[in-house]
Amino acid sequence: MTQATIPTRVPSRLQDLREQAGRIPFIRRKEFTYGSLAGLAVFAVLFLPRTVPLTPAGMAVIALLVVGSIAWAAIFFSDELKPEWSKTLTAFALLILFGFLYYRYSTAQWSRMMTLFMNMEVIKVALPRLLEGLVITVKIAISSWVISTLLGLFLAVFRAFDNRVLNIFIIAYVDVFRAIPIMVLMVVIYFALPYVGLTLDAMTSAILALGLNSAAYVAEIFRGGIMSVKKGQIEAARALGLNTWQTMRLVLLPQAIRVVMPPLVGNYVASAKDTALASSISVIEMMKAALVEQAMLANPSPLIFCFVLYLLMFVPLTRLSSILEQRMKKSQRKANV
Amino acid sequence: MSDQTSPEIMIEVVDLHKRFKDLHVLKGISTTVKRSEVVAVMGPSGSGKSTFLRCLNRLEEPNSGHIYIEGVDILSPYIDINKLRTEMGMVFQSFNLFPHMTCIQNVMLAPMHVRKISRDEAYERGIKLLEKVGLAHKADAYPEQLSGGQQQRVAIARALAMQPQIMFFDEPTSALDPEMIGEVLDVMSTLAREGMTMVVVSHEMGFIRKAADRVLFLADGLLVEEGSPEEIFNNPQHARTKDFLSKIL
Amino acid sequence: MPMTTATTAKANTSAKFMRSHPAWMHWVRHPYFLRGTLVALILYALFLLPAPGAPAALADKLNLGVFTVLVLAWSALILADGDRPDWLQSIVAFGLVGVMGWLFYRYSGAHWDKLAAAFFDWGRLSGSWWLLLDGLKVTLLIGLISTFLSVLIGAAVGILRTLGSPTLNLFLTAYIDIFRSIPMAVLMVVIFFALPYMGISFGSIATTVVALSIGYGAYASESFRAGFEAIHYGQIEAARALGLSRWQCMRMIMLPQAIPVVIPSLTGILVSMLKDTAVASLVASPELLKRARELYTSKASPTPLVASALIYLVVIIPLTRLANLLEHRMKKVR
Repeated sequence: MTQATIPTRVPSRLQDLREQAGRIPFIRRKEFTYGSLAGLAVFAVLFLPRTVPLTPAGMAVIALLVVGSIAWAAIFFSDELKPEWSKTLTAFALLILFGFLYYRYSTAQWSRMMTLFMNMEVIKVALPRLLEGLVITVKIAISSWVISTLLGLFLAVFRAFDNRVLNIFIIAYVDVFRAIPIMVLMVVIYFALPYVGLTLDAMTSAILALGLNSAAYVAEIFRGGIMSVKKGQIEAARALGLNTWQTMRLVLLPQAIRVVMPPLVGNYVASAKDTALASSISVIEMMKAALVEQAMLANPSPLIFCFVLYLLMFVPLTRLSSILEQRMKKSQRKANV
Repeated sequence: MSDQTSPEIMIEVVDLHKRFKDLHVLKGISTTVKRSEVVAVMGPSGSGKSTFLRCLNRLEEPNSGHIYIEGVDILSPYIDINKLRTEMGMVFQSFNLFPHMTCIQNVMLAPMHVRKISRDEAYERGIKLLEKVGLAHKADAYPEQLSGGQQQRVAIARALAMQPQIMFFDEPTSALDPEMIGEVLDVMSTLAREGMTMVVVSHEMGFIRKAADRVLFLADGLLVEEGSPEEIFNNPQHARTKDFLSKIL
Repeated sequence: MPMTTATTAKANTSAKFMRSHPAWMHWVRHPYFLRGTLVALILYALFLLPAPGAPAALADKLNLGVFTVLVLAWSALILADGDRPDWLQSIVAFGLVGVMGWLFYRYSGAHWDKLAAAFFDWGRLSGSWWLLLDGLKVTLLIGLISTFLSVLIGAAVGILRTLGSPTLNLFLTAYIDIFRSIPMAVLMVVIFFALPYMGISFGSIATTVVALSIGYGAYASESFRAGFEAIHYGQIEAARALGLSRWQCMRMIMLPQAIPVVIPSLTGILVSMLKDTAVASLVASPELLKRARELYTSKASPTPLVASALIYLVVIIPLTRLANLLEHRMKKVR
């Protein structure tokens, strides 16, 4: 070991730190935190415009206040030593502040807010149509799931035979249908195919477009599942005397399914969400129904209601698919270690 | 006690407690470390020895107790934790070199960005430190190209580049293949000889015997026994210590 | 022990069986079976299939279905068998694709003679190409701007999530969950048709950009989160132990390690984004699909629709390939 040519021992700087006690960065100090908060409050009280149609000066004041409070909150939040409850408080205070600013200074007709957006009477009138739309949405979704699963499975299995000729066709299918926007596919199927004598009704076109599109993804997902099973597993199974079909059923599939499940669920959720696109070819699914009702009743409540319904349907599904994904990641990490 | 400024006492820990949710990991640890002392911390797994070490530079925030370093209360809210950490080097079990930087960049990073010294100066210092750990020829290699022992030596050089007052070692050799342990321990012994204050969590008996001035034995979050390596190894007093030593010897 | 004797006895019988019955290949793999069934299939195709044209009667539909399944099963027997030579499998593959194409050609009920005149009537498009290209320009513009904005949002949300504050995470998770759950079409329609009642109104292109950026921002933030999660915790500890501040640690240690992980999925986001610009035709953005539909109406020909589909393919297939390539490279590096 060559002896050190530089001193590892240097005069201690710790005592300087001691002298500087209190010299934590300026923006982290209590004086700054409270001082600037008070400053913001005073600024707000003194300068916030009193009248509603905003002058440019008033807008500038509000912009300053918004930027200032965001900056203050950012400094507060980035301090890892501040207790969590104070951050919670800050977050809610910020929300309330923005809510107030919006309430006070936007030109929205607040007195009419409820009648506009959550008008129960309008929703009551629109509800039957919306529910009919919901049924159609569900029908399209489920039919396209069936098509895409069957077709995707078929493509993946034939892809697994790994024949060069067949691969070309399957890859072409997958590439084309993953690249073409679903809406374009729907429009082509519904509007263009009749010109060559293939007339499909709107709903069938929507199901077909969704199914063909999502089959391309499903094929890739299944292929990934098949490929994820390590070669050693198949060799071990064959060495035990299992035949092809037994290997497939007892070794390959159980392992592949665990890999396949999370992206498959994700894909089903995605294609269920895409049912809304069917409105472009005049299928009266839920969104189209809401749009029609909104136009007829001249009130956006049905649309908002439909938004909420979509959230109720899809937030749990999205959650589910990300939970599955997380679980798979965790088990993979374990397998790697 | 608390504002004791004797240069002889480097670290003073008073009644340190740490809880993870309902798990009480450190149940009141008090000890002192003198300047240039090399202290080995031993104990069965789960005894809280790593947590203890990590509390000393506040990688874990203790729940209660006091830590004074040269008399400075480092748990004070007025202490800038980043400045504080520059005075304490830390070496990890899993090396934790930054994989996207070469060895020399790893060593130069903190001096340049925390100490704000010039690139040239940082480079010079870095090369000298790599020489010191015998790896100057690997300066431009990426961590993944090095063996475990070499990575750990670079990690030591990286910690030394900040010219710390104290070095903490958190099981520096337990992730290493047996034939690489020696090279890392050599570097640590050199440091100890040069008078660095060191706190080492390790079970390397040979190293502890040779280099350590004192052994702390932790079990279940308590400091059950402390003394010179000879005392602890040859004549352990506490049942937990005896039990543990009989298992690892 | 009774157990041992039982197994030995069984093993003996099985050995005896093997001696008296040589290990025949399974009958479905036997050449005689395969040749026989091939002849049967050809005879089926020649004499039993229904007359050309879309099958109307249930019996005809069943007939076609059975034939298709038999053809698929027969070719699967050859293709799945690793002992068959490559050339034979390739011939069977060609045959399979050929038969499928022939079945579609014969029984889909399409008027193939009208195909070229209806779908590829380029003459009718002459002079209107610029409209389609204009649409493409809008599509690309919307796609690029929204990608840029959504990456910004995603990075910001991803970085904020590393702060690990439960309150903040509550809001951020709510944002991510809501916008990952809501269909893009619904989001656009709500922004375009409902928000004006709240005093917030955007033009159609602005609506598209806002909806795409916010929506895909949620996806991008998930990619960033995955990128940050891939970093070993020790990296951050080591950086902090050296005295780097949180922001320095983010800038010098975490982002450089996260970005290579994030880039492939961001390319994926760009691809989906470009595809979802087609949704903007719902709110009357003058993008490619909208233009194509306008032309379809004014020219009374499906050619513009086909043309727009082809344009999408030309733009998006290379990008999909690029995304796949990046992802593969990422996996290899790891």
